[in-house]
Parts: sequence; C-alpha cells; structure tokens
Amino acid sequence: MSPFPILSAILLCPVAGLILVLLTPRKFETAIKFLSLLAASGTLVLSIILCKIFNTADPGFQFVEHLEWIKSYGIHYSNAVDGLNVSLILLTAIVIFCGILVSWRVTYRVKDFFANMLFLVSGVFGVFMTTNLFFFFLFYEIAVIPMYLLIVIWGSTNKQYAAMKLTLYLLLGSALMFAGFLYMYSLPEARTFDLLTLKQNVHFSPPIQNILFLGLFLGFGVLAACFPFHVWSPDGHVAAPTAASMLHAGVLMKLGAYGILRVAVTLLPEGARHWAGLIAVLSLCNIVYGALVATQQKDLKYIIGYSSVSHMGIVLLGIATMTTVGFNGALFQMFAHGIMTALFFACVGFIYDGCHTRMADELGGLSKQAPMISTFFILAGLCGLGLPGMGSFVAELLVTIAAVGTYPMIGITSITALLITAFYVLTAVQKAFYGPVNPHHADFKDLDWLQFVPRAVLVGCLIFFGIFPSVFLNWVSLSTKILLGG
Amino acid sequence: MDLALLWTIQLSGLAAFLLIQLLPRSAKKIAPAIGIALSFLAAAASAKLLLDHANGFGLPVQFSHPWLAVSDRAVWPNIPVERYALFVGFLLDPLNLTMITLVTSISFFVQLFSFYYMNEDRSRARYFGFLSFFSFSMTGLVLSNNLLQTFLFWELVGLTSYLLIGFWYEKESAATAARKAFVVNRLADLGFYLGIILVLILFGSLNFTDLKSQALAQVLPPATLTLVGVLVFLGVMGKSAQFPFHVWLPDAMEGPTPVSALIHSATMVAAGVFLLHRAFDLFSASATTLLVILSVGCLTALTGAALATIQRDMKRILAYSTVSQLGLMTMAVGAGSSTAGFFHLSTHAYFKSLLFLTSGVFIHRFHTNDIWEIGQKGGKNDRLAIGFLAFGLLSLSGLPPLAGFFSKDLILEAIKEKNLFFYSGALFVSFLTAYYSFRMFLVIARGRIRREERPHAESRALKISRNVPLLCLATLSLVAAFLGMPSFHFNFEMLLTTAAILVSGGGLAILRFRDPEAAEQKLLAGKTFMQKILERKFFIDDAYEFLVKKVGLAIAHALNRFDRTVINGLMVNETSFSVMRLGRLAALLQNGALQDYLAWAMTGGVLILFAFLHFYRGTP
Repeated sequence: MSPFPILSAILLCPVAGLILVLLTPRKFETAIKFLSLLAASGTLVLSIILCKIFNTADPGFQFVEHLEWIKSYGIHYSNAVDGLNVSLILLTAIVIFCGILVSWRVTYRVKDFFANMLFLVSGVFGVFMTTNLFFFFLFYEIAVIPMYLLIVIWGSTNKQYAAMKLTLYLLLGSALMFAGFLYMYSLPEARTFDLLTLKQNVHFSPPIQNILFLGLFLGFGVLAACFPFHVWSPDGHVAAPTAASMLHAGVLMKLGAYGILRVAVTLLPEGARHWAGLIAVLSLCNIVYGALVATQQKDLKYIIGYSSVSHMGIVLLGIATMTTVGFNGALFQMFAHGIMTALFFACVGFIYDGCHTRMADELGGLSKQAPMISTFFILAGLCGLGLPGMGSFVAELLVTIAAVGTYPMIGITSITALLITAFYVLTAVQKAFYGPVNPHHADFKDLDWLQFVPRAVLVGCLIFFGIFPSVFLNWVSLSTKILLGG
Repeated sequence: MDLALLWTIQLSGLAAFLLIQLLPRSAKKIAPAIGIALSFLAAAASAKLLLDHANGFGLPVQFSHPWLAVSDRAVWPNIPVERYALFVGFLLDPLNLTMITLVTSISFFVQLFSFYYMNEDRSRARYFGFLSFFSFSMTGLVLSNNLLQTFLFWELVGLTSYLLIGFWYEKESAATAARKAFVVNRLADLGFYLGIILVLILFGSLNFTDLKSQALAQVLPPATLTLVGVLVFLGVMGKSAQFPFHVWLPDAMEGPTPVSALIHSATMVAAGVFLLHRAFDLFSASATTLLVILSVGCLTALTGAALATIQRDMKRILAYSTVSQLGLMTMAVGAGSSTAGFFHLSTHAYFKSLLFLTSGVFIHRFHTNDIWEIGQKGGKNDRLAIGFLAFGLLSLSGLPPLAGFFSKDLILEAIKEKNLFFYSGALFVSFLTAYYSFRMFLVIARGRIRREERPHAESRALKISRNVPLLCLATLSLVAAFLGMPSFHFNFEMLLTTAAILVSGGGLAILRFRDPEAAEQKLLAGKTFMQKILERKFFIDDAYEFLVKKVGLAIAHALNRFDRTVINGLMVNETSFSVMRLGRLAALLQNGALQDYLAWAMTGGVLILFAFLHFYRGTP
C-alpha cells in the first residue's frame, strides 16, 4: 500500500462533501454550494496530482489499495490505477468540478440537488478505480439511482418517461454484466471477484469466452449507447438538468466502454477477437447512423444527444480494431468526448435558462447578443466536427488509422461521418447563433465570470490535449499494449 | 537563427490573435494596430530569411519534433515499427521560402488596407483577430514539413475562411455561404484525410523529404500510387476550388473584400497548388494521377473563365477568374511542370490581391458590387483606382511585360509540350480571360455618369492605409515576375500567340462593350441559350442541392423515422407496453372477489394434486 491512499482520498472527497452537505441545514444554500465546490475542487486537485505522479513507464497497476472485506467470497475493497483509468478519473474530476460551478444557478431544492450530484460522482469514481468486480457493480448501481432522481426532480421535457427509460436500460445493462460476473465467480478455479486473481488463475475455454464476452459486451454496450441500444441516451440527455447531462454524457456513457476494456477484453481476449467484427459493424452504425439522425433534430440537446451516439461509435470502433493504436484512440476519444459534451451541455443549459427554448429555429442571432456563450458552443461544435488542434481530432485520427488498417471498408465508411457532422454542427450554429437577433430573447444575458470559469476550463482541456496529445498517450499506451498481451 | 526567425513568423499571428482576444472591451480599438504591427513583424522576419538564404544558400533546413507515437505491430505487421511516429516540424527550402514571403507580405498589406476598409465596422477587433489567426494557420501550412501537419493547418485555414466569410453573420447569405465553403471543403478533405492515412499505413512516413518518387514506387504498386495521389489531390481540389468543388469560392465573396483578397485569391486557395508542388513526387509517381490533374485543371480553367464572362458583380468576376487561374496552375502541374504552376501562383497572388483590394476601393466608395452601377456612379473619377484596375487586369490577361505574361507563358509552353488538346483549351481560357478583363474595365471606365457620389473626406492615415498597399502590391507583382522567373528565356512564338489572343479577346470585348449602356440594354432585352446556361452556372449548384436535399437529407429523414418508430417505438416502448399489458392481465386475478380467489386456489390445488399423483405413479 502506498503511504498516502490517494485513490481513496479522491473517492472520499465527494463522500465527505456529501455527508457535510447532508448535515447542513436546508436554508444555508450558499454554504451547501461552497461545500460541494470544495469537495469537487479537492478531487480535482488530487486527480491532477495523481496524473502528475502516475508512472508512465509502468504498465501494471499502481497506487494499489487493498482492504479485505468478505474474504470467503473474494470481495475486497481494492483500488488501483493504470493507463486505462487514470485519464477517466481525471475526466470525472474535471466534469464534476465544472458541473458544480455550472449548477450555481440552481434554485429548486438546492440541498437535494447537490447531495445527489456528489452521491452520483462518488459512484462513478468508485467504478473507475476499483479492481473488484463486486465493487464495480455496487458503485455502478450507486451512480444510477441519483441519476434517476436528478432527472425526475430537476429535469425538463418528458422527464418521467426519459428517467424511467434511462434507469431501466442502465439496470438492464447492469443485470447482464452482473450475470456475467456471477458466472465467472461460480467457476471452481475462480471463487473470487478480484479482477487480477481472475485474470491470473482462470483460463476460459474458447466457447465460454465467446458466450461470456457477448453477454458482457451487451451489458456494457447498453451503457455505451451501442446501436441498437442507444435510444435511452438522447432522451436521457434531453430530459436531464444541465449538470446531470454533463455528467451523464460526459462520464456515465464512458463507464460502458471502460467496462468493455477493463473487464471483457482483459479477461476474455479470445472472445473479444471473436466478436470484433460484429462490434466494428455496430460501431459503424453508431457513427454514421447517429450522425445522420442528428441532422434531423431540431432541439439542440437532441442534436448533441445523437452526436454523442455517433462519437461513442468511434470509441467502440477503436476497441473493435483490437490494436494498441485503436485502444489508445478509444481511450482518447472517451476523454475528449467527455469534456466536449460536458461543454456542449453546459452551453445549451445556459441558453435554455435564458431563452426558455432549445429549438435551433426559435433561437437565432445569439452571437450578437451573447458572444461568449456562443463562442463556447461553437468551440465545442468545432471539436465535435474533428477540427485539428482539439482533442477529438487526435482521437479520431488514431481510431481511423487503426480502423483503415484492420477493417478497410468500415474505416473508410466511418470517415464520411466527418462530413455529416460538419454539416449538422454548422447548420445548428447557423440557425441558433447567426442571422438577425430574435426579439423574443432580447433580455438574454451573456455569461458572468462565475459561469465563464467552468466553460473556459473545459475548452482549455480540449485545446491542451489537442496540441499535446502525447501527454495523454504516455499515460495509456503501455497499459493498452499489455492488454493485447504484448 | 533560422529557427528563431521561423518561430517568429509562425507565432506572430497567434500572438496577435491572443492579444486581441485578451484586450478589455474599452481598449478594443487598438486591435488593428496589434494586427498590423505583428503582421509586419512576420513579414520582416521572412524578408530577413529570404535575404539570408538568397540563391538558396544553406537550404533546405529542417527542424523536426515527434508529436504522436502510433507504432503498432497489429496495424503494420511487416514494417519496422520505429518509423511510425507522427512528427511536427519546419522544413525550409527555396519553395516555401518564396511562399512564406508571399504570404506574410500580402498578409501585412491586407491588414494595412483593412484599417481603411473596416474603419467604420463595429466588430473590427474580431475581424483583425481572425485575420491574424489566419496568418498563423497559413504560415503553419507553408512551413510544415509533413503531410499531417499540413492537413492540420489546412483545416485551420478552412476554419478561418469559414469565420471570415461569415463575418457579417447577421446576413443570412453570408452565414449560408460560410457553411457551404466549410462543408464543400470538408467533402474534398475526406479524400485528403484518407490519402494521408493510406500513405502512413502503406508507406510509413509523411515527411516531405521522404516522399520521393523512387522510394514510393519501391513500396507501393502503381494502382495504389494512383489511388493515393488522386485522394490527396481531392483535398487540393477542394481548397483550390477545382471543378466540381469550385462552387464555394464565388459564394465566399460574401466576406469583407480584403478577406477575399488575402484568403480567397492569393493565399489559402493557392494552398492546394502549393501542396501540388510541395508533394509533387507523390503525384508524379503515377502518370495516371498527372493526367487526372491535367484534366481537372483544364475543366476548372474553362468553367471559371466561361462563368466570369457574364457576371455583373465585380467580386464574383474576380472570383471566377481566380477559379480559372487556379485551374491553369493545376494544369501546369498536371503537365509535369510544377515550377511553372508555382511561378504563376506567386505572380497571380500579387496582382489578384491588388485587383481585389482595388475592387474594395470601388465597393467602399460606391456601396455596390455591380460593375454597371459603379460605372454610372462615377467609377472612372477615381483615377488612382482605375489605374490600378487597368494594371491588374492587364497583368491578368497577360500583357507583356507585366507579371501575368511571364508566368502564363511558361504554363502554356509546358502544356504545349505535353498535349496539344489541353494546349488549345488553355489558349481558349486565355482568350476568355482577356475578354472578361476588358469587359470589366470598359463597363467601369466608360460608364455614363448618372448620379455621381462624392468621396467621403478621409484622414491622412486612412489614405495611406488605402494607397500604400495597392502601390506595393503592384510593384511586388513585377518584382516577383522578374526575380522569381525560374529561367529567363525568350520565346518569340509564344509572344506572338499571346499577343494574338490578347488582341482578339480584348477586341471582342471592345466590340461589345465600348458602350456599356447599350450593352446593358441588349442584355436586358433577351438572353441567348448559352447565357441562360451560364447564369445557372452549368447546373452544378443545382446538382449539389439535389444531392444534399433530395438524397442525403431524405436518407437522414428516413433513418430518423426508423429510429423513432422502429427502434424507439417497436423495440423499446412496445417491450415496456407488453410488460405492462402482462401485468394488467395478471392484475385481473386480484379482483377482490373471495369466490374467485377460492376458485383459483381450488384449481391450483387440484392441479398440484394431479401432478403429484401422476409423478408418484410414474416412479416405481
């Protein structure tokens, strides 16, 4: 055990924040907000330190923390990071920090809102850092429940339907994945939920690998909005309140892709190879189909929702290539897309608060009126359409290189999404931000400095990793290499 | 020393952009000063670089730095892995030394001119910020030492072009034109992107110094070489507005006129031709690629020139003329003489930006783009502007000894050696060029003044910022022609041919437009079949509209319906409804009537008893 349990500290920051928020009386709203911000800043600082001291030359687990809990069932509280999750912990910390700041303007049931946010993010951190499958499942469930509440209580647009749909879908995914976990546990040589022990002790025979991988892939694929299980995500994004959308699209969808890499590919590499072709085809559907459907949307949030479907397809395609470059690209895309969608939702949420509509046609001329928020939205859009200098470009480049190398036809077809994305992003920008000012929204005010900060942080991340991608690739590339057994 | 200068050139645009963004709102009015000062710095640095390396002394210089490791045995099983890293770096050789001088000098003059042109615009700071960002991206493109970095900045110049075409975004037409430019370029760039990836996967290096015909031919089979060459050329077709991707360029004239001068005539659209020269070995490795390039260039040159003959909008005439001249440059490359193409690029850049800035003077003063209206409002009274207009147009139509003459002749010679069919095409383009140049000049200069507009009173600073750039660009076009000539030679036959074309094209224009009023009357009276086709721009825009609206968006619409009804409706909602129906059915059992419960209980009991007896009897 390392001298200072930094991972547990990252996890405990929001937990401590949650407890403090719960203990604070309801009427001290500002205190609650500051406590939440403090907790989020704590995790952010610790995550940045973690990335700083993370040893890029070590492909295995680092900062291992192990606490035995139920020994006879192999259920332990154990955390560790390697290249796969270090960036995702940072991503979560950035998004929650920005999410708390963006939520500063929440007025309805403030205490409950921030408590739910912190609860949710504790679950997400847990999923990303644990190496025990039981805890993986547990933390995952912890993340789902507050999401339901956040949407039902603070949401908009058909929120009850969307919240129920999202929850059922996510539980369906988790049921599949838990069934897989239990099966693995039930094998005589396993009898543990510990990921490393499973990897070392258990050899799954090829037919078992194939069946088990498919089950796990479907379970995780639902979370990653894999076609045709994607419809929960646009509806959920649209209904959720701003900060919840940010966390949801930015982080929660990544849980699925992370699970595929961390559990399914790690334990069942042969199964992964067996199904890689299918995943590639499905991911192509995600990429092109999602982009085409996005062109037809009128609500800005639906546009972003379907663009997420399209962009998550790139993550899945990267995984399907079963190459180091593809995995690196997939992880990079998870990170870049997480930041980018968070930025998107942060912008749309602000516009919705001011204009009370998200329909691109009913807005118009916002650039003149509110140049700052428009600039942020346009920057997010440029990142979405894969502009060089932004994180997504590098991610897409890596995935495309791997895809063209392994599945030439699929790789080449997936490139067309760049064109479609450019089309719908720029059309949305033109409708909402260009043209004459719409008198209906004449009193719409631009960002103040407090609302400026979180969006600027997100843009800064996108540009930083777009210009210095090797910072990111140094974290991940050794771990993805051993994932393929090389 | 070189590296420091290169960094200065590269980063001064970015610095100006960032400084302008950081200015507090009250200090935004010094934005032009920042832009002009830093673009002057870049121009001075590149002039110093040019002097240091006069006659190609000490070149080429290369600075390279690894950017991104993509080595992976799974993608490349057979080739040594160490090579697969993506680099960023500068490559300085005589070619881009010329180009960088051209880019930074025109940038500077256009920024200076913009001070005059955009003086009354309230968003000046944004304008100068974008313009500086353009300089940054363009210098990055020119100095790059590999294809990927070129692509990176290629997209960034596309972005600035988008932002500047849509600078007056309140206007619907400007916003639409900006989007069109970006999307059409994106379409072409798909090919470029794929080409780069294929070169990386199959060849293993994107560095220009590694991309040599022989090395390529050793690794790649001829068919692949052609494929890669054509794919990369697709990108060139987009950026350099080659047929059928040229449709965005005329619409791009919605942007401010200095922007058209800098981006849409001199530098960015020339980037494609620059790349053709830069990566010439990639194209010349396959004869088929060169033939494709030659044909596309010819088609572009003809289309552009033909469409320029009927436009009334001054900027659109110049835009189509740019399209046509870019086609000529591409033809030169296709004919195997990329030097001639590049030489024409450099002379054309100066005199075309001069022409655009001159048209800016007219537009700024008369508030119209229509050449007839400019003529009627007294266009000929602006002596200085008329002079520059004549100078630019004569250069364009290739009058010796002005700039265009030398470079165009070189191209004609190159094509003549290659193929007489394309040569006749190029000659016809020159004829049309002379015709539309004379037409434009005559209509403006010989218009009968109806309602003359007095010029605004202008401060001395404004006058300087208007006239100095014009004068300098005119001079530079001559300097570029005389100093930049690859090899001096005198071809009497060519001189005669050019003179004959000039006289016949110009003569036809004089014949038809010596009295602009009468010509306009005739034009309004009736249109010939040919004119109608030309006005519909050969139906190319209509074809695009059909493809986007009737094909692309129709598919998207159908898929959206599919998503809502089949996936969301049948798969998701119906599942949940069936569960609910099942629940409702089961709920019928629980109706609160005791006799029903008893009846169900009895039935169940009997069934259990029956089963029990059945199985009991079954077992021995």
